[in-house]
Amino acid sequence: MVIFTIIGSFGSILLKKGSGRFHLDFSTKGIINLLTNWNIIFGGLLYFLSLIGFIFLLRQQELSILYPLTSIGYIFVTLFSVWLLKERINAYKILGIALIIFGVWMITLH
Amino acid sequence: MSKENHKQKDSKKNRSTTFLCKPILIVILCTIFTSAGQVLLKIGSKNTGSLIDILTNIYLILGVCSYAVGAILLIIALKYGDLSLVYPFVALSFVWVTLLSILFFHETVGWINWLGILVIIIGVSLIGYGSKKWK
Repeated sequence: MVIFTIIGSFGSILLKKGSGRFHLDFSTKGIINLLTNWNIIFGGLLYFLSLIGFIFLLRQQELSILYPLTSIGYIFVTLFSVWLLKERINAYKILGIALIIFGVWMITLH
Repeated sequence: MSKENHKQKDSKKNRSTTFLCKPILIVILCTIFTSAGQVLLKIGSKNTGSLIDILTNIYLILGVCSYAVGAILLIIALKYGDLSLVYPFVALSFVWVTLLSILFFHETVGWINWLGILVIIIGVSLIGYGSKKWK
């Protein structure tokens, strides 16, 4: 599960990298531009792969256990965005992510 | 339009509040679409006997379309905002899905789940508020 979360997080990094070149343009030029945007294509694929992995794991493990684990993705995405995209984070972001993970865990409790 | 976008991207360093609002509003819209997609898929998942059943299932088709719109909105949001700002807002889909499950599937939700919703909203708000400080 953790591996699939890391794959998904890496996918979102690629989506972010490709998003600068992303335009809603349905002309031939726009479509070619989208199809050669490897960051978006590979990012989307990695995202999709982590989703497939999640569905696969769901067949063996309870949703109430797996769902809170998906929120580990927020930690990885934040770490990756600082490390690879050189984004700045602050105490608000760290506290916010901690609260989100805590909240997701509470939502899945019965 | 695209020229304007590039200009905005260049002036990323001196971001204003309006600059911050745009990706947040887009990603919130994105979570609404993905949550609606999940609910539609759930409704559609009841009738998945044969391949034709799946391909002609209007709920599944609408669900996938809704998901696709959500994905496009996420990419657009990422274009205007930092990943570490935009991505945590995806957690709002947990909130919408819980609310929609009550509405459509009459699922029962305990106080701890309501508290979870509240905590997620506070967490997401903090991230938005915290990013406003970086100008």
